[in-house]
Amino acid sequence: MVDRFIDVLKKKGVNQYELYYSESYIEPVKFDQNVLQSLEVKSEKGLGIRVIQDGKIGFTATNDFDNPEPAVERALAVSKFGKPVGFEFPSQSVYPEVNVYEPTGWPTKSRIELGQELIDTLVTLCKELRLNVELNYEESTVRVVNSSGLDLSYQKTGYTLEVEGLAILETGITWIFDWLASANPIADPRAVIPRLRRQLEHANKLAHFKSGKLVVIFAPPAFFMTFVRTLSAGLSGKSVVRKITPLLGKEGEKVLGESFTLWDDGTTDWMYGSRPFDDEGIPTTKRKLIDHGVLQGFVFDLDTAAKAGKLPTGNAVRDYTGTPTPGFNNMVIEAGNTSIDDMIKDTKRGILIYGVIGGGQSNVLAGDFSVNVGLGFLIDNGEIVGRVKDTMVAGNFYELFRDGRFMLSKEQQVIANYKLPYAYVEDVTVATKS
Amino acid sequence: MIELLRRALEIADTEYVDIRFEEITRTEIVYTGKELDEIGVKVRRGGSVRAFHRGAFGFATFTLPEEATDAVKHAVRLAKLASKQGDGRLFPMKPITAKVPLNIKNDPRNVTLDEKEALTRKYNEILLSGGEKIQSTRTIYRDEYIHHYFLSSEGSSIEEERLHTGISMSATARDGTNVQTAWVTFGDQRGYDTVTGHEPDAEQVVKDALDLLKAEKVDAGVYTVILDPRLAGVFIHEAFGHLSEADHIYRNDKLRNIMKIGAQFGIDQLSVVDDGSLIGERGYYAYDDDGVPSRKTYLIKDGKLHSHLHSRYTAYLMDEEPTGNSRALNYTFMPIVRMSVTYIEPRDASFDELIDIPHGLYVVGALGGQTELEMFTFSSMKAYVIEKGKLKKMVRDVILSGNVFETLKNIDKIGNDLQIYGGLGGCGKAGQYPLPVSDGAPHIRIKNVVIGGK
Repeated sequence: MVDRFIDVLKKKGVNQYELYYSESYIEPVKFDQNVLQSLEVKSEKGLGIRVIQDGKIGFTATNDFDNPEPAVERALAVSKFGKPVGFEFPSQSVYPEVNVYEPTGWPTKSRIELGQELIDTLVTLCKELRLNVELNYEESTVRVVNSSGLDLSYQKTGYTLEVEGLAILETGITWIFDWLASANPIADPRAVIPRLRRQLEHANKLAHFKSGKLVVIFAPPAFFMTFVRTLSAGLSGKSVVRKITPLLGKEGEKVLGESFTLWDDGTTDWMYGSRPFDDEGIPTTKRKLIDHGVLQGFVFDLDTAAKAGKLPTGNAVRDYTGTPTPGFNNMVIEAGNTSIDDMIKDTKRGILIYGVIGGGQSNVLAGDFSVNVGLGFLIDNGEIVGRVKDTMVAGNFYELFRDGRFMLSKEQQVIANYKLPYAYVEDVTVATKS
Repeated sequence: MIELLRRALEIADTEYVDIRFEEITRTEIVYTGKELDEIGVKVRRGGSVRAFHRGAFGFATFTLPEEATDAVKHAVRLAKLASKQGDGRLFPMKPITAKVPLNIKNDPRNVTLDEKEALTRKYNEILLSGGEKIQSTRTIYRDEYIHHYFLSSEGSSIEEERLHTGISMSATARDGTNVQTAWVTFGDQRGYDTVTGHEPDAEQVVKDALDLLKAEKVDAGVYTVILDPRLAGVFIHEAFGHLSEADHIYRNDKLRNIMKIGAQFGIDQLSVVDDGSLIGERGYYAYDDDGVPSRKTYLIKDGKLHSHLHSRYTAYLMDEEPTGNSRALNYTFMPIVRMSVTYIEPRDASFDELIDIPHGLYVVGALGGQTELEMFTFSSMKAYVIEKGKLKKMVRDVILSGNVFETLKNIDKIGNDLQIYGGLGGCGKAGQYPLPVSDGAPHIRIKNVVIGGK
């Protein structure tokens, strides 16, 4: 299918072009409020076309494969408005070997049974629970062809499990959630049960405390909702080019505490976001962006790298309908030395937060956050004593994650293409109504 | 097209099957800073089949119209496989045959790409004129034409055209680590005129971003607040509207009890409406993705809960009427219960009456909002302190949060100046974002709102 477009491009004398073809197939099994609601098969294929004419770039997308002419015309028509480009499409390189394709599949019947089993088990723990469970098997193909002679493709599979539960308890509405995601079959899907049980354990009792500066332990989902956008936007080449990241020009400087190390990882086998090359055909790598608190670099695609005077880093992300933008393959925050249980034991007075409401609404790039606690528990003298309500936590990421103020846990949790530990942070402003 | 899809339906051997097919053409122009970041015209088409069998759905998507027959087979097979556990039925309805053509004055498809690019650039240049403190700008133009087909095994056959046009402008100002964003968006289904003439709005965005840099952080505390129509609209959509969606409540007895018809939710003057039949609004459509006509539904009437929002499926399960709120983002998704044009009805208070309080906050525009059923958090774009009935200094980083039910009851005065907003964004639910919706309200006053801050 792609070849017909190349013929048209050549016929029209286009010397620089890139075709990004993607094909996806996904089979969701969806339980809605404890009941099997639907089975789906979704497939989609499409093509993104970029052309460079007179030094300017044009783009279009189509999934009308029978008519390459109008699509190429559109890309060319658009290119006259396009921005001047400072890059060329890449030629053949050396690509890492990454295992991300395991098409054994996940039989619909066993997913239905597993979903039902998870629901039955969790409802036994809390009869008020209404669970939405989604079990997915997905396959995708990505092919990048360009005028520099590149013609690459890879296939990838994905296995994901999402559990989201709602219980209306005496203490109010309680949301719990957990995820598992992998490029190969999920080794232990039942791992969600103990983690969800932990979230339910103390949800039935309210705890009261006074506003002030407390220890806050952000569980991985809460860390994700509160801080990941600050990190991904702050480390994006786009923010570098636009000069809006507070990390601008700080390579080699200490921007966070000693125990904070963050990777972009595109090459570890079977991780959900791994792949041999990015969406422009640049090899992916595994590299530290923040090493023991010291900023090492940013993530770039071709365009932002050219503008920033850097090399592309294998981080272009797109789907066929859009142009590339720098993003993470897998974002991994390195584990610390303390277990979550010890973190709790070490806490005289603090709160452990699983879920927040309103993440990312403050001045995200600057690191400011101010979030409402969705699901959180009061810790008193090393023990969880009950659930907190009507509570807000606020502060600044870059100020809180400094030496001597925070710890990261041994345990890490995978949330799609993020791998995150628990974060114990001191002196966080916590405001409560009660 | 219709004939082709109808033939595919003939092989359906289950209680209900429908097919949707869409052809979507989208023009998008994005300026970021001084740069034309993106300009493109994209074409996408495809369809999906939804089958219903004894309480459960099977769903299959396809790209080419000829693949519809296979998709029907897939969907029926999956529905039968799922049905062992399902419950419920679809609320019965008469088949509908309809053709809904476009009804707009100035069709953006007749406007050249040159002209659209020039318009976007002009707005962006106004944003950039704010000087060196303006760290970045983003101006987005978009139009989207959708040719939508819906056929069901019950005999419905609906062809509907929709055309959205919109613009959004944002400016980020920076002073050291202090970064402030102001923005505005306009968008609906009235055609190209919706996006022209917004130079004063662009100027206001720059001014707001620069003023916010100088504003003090708000003091955390409990305030009486006056919400402007934009933020009040976001509030009623996010905090209350989602609770009215029957798919949240139909299998949850406790929530059903909280959301019981007739329950008191606010003062007698409070009425909240969802109305997808308002032609021209961003959230307008003639028929939903169950083939049910859109209509006006009172969610709250005179302070009491009046109805829920339904698809045919949830309506049957709750023994209520479908409301025409079964919507899918596009052909690749199954429809779920969604809002359309959601607003608080105006009453008689003037703005001066609303702010006639000793101390409070006037909060304007929304940067974002999130809810977890009963809990909500919103950040406003800007806010002003109110002292003795007068607007005083501007404050920033105003984040409102609270319990929805308490907050609705704390609305004590409703203004007379209803505004309905669409824009380029939309609503997100179950991975389907951004679904075109409109929100609206007059100015409203709420007591005892918790404001996060320094």
